[in-house]
Amino acid sequence: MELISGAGLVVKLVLLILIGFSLLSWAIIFLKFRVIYSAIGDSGRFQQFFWNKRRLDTISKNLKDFPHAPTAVLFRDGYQELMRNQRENNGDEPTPFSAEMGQADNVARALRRATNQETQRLERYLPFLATTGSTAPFIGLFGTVWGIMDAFHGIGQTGSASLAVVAPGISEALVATAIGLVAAIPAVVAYNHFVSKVNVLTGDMDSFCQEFLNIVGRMLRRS
Amino acid sequence: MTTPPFPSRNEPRLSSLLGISLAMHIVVFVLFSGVLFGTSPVERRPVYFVDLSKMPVLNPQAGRPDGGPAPKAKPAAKPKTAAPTPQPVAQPASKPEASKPKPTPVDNKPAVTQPTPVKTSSKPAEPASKPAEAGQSVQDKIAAMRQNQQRQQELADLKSKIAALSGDDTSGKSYGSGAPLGMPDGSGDEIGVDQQTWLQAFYKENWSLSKYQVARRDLQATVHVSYSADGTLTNYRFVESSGDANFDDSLKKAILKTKVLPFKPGRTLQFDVVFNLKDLMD
Repeated sequence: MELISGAGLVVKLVLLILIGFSLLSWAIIFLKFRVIYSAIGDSGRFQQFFWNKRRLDTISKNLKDFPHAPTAVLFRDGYQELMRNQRENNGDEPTPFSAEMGQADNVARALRRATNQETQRLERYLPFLATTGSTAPFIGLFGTVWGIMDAFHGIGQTGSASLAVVAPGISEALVATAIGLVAAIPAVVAYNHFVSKVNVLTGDMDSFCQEFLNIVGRMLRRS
Repeated sequence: MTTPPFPSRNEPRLSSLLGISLAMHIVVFVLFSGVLFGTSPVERRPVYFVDLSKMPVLNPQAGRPDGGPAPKAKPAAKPKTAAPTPQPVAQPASKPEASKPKPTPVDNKPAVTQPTPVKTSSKPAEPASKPAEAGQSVQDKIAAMRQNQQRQQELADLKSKIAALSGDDTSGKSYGSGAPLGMPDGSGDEIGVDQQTWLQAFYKENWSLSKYQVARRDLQATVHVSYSADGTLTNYRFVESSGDANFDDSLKKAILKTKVLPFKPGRTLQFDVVFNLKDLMD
């Protein structure tokens, strides 16, 4: 506390920026923790449900049980596209398992679009964590360099260079680097962790797309 | 066939989580700054400056640990207080008195008495003592005023002594310069300081620790030390550890630096020494 109150104006400003970075990055960490872990949980449960129930119409009626699963969104968009094509081809009430082979491309495009949307949703705000992790130490370092400059200027004016004169100024300046690291370290750790989890989910979504397209293709060939 | 329902997501908003983040930062700040739990209260003990070149005694007399010899103390203090009394007192006292006698001597000796009180205002006692017939009341008044001034002077002197004794500054520098050598609570008859106080100062002299070696400034430890009658260190143990290894090591070094005391206590010495980092830093 004494170190912060004794620091210069520029160092205080730097500390304020770093605290802002830390506040926002922790808010993002909390947000991403909830979003990504609920997505992982729901996605696992949905895939289990999907492979247990073989009928697409039954699955589509139970999608509300998996609100956070990205694969459920993929299924919803793919299934909606499939049904839309059915309606256009028949003109009346669509029959789920009778469509032409060309419809598979439309479903594939719908799935790709849904995958992109879900990936964007999962990766939202993560770049801020990366920015905090990479810039906060430098911002802190800037504050430290400025503080040390000030300290040495003061030493030059007093003409004394004993440890008692030099140490307080330097320790006050070093607070900026310390706070910068305090802001950066959790941000970097969280960023790497969340990116790896998002990669796992993206892999899941890609696999699900392939499986879903295979099922649709088989159904279309049968009909 | 109906379209599948949109999954109802109730994702938290960033603004609400910003509040949680802010609360977390405040909690961390409060925990680290010591506002909530406070820094552990450090026992502030009076600090005596002891002249280590003078050996301690068994039964120290009342006085100051770094004070001068006893007989010189009181006479030295009195002249100091007595000296300033005549200067500020005499001038205001003589002037009103000098103006009063003016009309009274007019009746008896107008030529002689008038110039003396007016011109020699620095010596008001002479005109008052000389003429016995000038009126007993004037002499009485002067005497009463002198007494009054002396009392006020003594009172001021006492006040300054009390202020020096009860002040926050426990360094001992605020005592009068001529205080007798001894201890504030001494009841013995030997000129010197208490053995325990001397050893405290001795340990402090031997104790070295940089503030950069310890994380906190409020460290305190109590060590029980035992010395034999010939001054040899027989045992030491930590009654209360500080919890900081560097701090405790520095205490051990300070105690073990001199295993034999430069004086013979004459009896087995056993006491607790409180090592306070703040005292060392001060």
